[in-house]
Amino acid sequence: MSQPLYYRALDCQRVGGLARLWPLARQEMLLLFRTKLGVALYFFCMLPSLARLVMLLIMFGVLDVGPPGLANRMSRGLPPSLNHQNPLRAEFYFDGALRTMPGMIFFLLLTSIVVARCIARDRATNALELYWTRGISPWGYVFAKWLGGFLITSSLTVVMPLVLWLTACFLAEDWTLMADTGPQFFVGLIAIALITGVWTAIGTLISAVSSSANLAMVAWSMLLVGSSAIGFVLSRALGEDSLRSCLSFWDAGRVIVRSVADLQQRGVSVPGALMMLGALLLSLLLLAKKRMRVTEALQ
Amino acid sequence: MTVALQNVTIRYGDHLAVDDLSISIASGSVALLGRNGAGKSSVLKALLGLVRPSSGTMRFSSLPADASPAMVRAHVGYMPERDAHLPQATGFEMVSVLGMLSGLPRRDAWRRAHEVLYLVGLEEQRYRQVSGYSAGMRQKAKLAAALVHDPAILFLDEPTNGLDPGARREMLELVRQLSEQLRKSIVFSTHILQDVEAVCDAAVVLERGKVVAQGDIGELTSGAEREFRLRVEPADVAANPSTAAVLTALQASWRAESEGEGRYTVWLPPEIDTTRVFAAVREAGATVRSLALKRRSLEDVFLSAVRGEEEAR
Repeated sequence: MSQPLYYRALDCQRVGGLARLWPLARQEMLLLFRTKLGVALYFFCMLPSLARLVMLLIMFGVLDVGPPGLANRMSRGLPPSLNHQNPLRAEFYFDGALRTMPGMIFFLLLTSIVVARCIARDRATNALELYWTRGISPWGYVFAKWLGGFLITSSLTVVMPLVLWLTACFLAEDWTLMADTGPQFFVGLIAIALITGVWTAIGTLISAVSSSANLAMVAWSMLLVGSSAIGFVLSRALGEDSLRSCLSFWDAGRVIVRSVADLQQRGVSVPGALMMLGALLLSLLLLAKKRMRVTEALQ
Repeated sequence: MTVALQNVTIRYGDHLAVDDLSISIASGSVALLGRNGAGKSSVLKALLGLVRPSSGTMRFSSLPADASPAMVRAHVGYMPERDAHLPQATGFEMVSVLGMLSGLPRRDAWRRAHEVLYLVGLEEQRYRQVSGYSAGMRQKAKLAAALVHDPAILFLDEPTNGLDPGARREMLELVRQLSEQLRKSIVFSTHILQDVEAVCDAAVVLERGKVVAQGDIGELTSGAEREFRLRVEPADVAANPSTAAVLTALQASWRAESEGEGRYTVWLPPEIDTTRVFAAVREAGATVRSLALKRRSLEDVFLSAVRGEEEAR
């Protein structure tokens, strides 16, 4: 005679929409922190921002390095070409995340582990079959995966610049810095958030079309670094600087953010950059549409 | 909950997976039997709303006729055939996340995850990563995930796949209890006939996308004709009549075959009393030594149904 099963019928109101997708996005966002290596990687990727924080502390005299007032005097005397090193300029706070060195390297490191693997990894463990036989659609699933990747990536590209700027505002002698840099900084921050969204969408879609997690990582790294390298070489070889932003999606994003934030830049093509990002995103969407059919999960 | 499929046809491009299928799956546990490629999984996928039939209708008794796939999935628990788990997730996380994706609020999903993991016997292992589970534990984790949102009907696709005999027995016992104690309707897709006999009340046999036999397991195994094993010996050994005479006497009234050395197989229609066999044998100059009814196994039913379909083609 078998033991009676302990079972209670479920009595609760079902939730819908984003409330269903959020657990998936949250799980994706926190996946990196499940291992010590992941936590170490995340903090390693924060190094450029931490370095800027140290710079700020020195500039504002919190860390006592050099003669008193030297840093402040230096900041005021820096030429416009070094605005990205000057805490009195909005550029200082978000340009670091957009530069090839070190911004792109750390972005690549983080996204190749988090974003590029997200869907391909689920495909490898047949998790798609479990997800799609629930109350979410394949595109809802892709959205949740993108959201998780976007949130963790933007913690470096959006949240850290915001933390740096707020720190500088509180360290400054008066509210002049906040008033001078605030409008431009926030416009730039919104642009950076949008571009981070586009970049992570490209990474997520590459993951959606790749047959394995490792392949997705390699494809994403090749696309990010390769397109940047090709853009750099061709622009130098042909003497056409604007080619760089038309061939590399990293440079395209940077050009758009700087243009929106009204930062000085020469030899760039904003329409070319927009078209480049749009075309890449659209092509990947069309490819993913085929790969994200429900039958795909069940084959 | 009952499920009815009416004239359902499913195509994958040019390939016809299910051909004009009409079945009604009543409450209790029903087996979908068939060889690989017979259309079992296609039927389950169509019921889950993952595959759209090219024609026909499907109806769940407690849902409106135009219920969306999402609404259907809220009432259905699906345990896939393949090994499936969420990367790096523990048993508890996997089950609770899947519960939340089914629309459970977080607190309820957590409570349910603990309860169903306890139910399937994974309470001790729930905080271990599923990737480190044994095959039997993974099957149980999938079953827990199928149960977390308290579905009225469970679709179990080959739930004993890859299990050792002990784990297989445990899984079958669990499925039987879910059906008998919790009154869950269960659709059990498999090609392992012993599993069906152990768990299911009824079976639908599919072959090349068509139903070739269906009914209660008892009805299917008893069949239209009863098969008897008959052993005779001459009434007067000295007289030693030919066994051919016995066969002729039997074949005059029923279907019968000789197996040599006084052994025969006789198929009797349900209305025929066995005393008539004794009389026929006596008239042929022999005596019945034994007459035993052979119970048909589900395997016999399956093979004869599949063979019949092949011959018809």
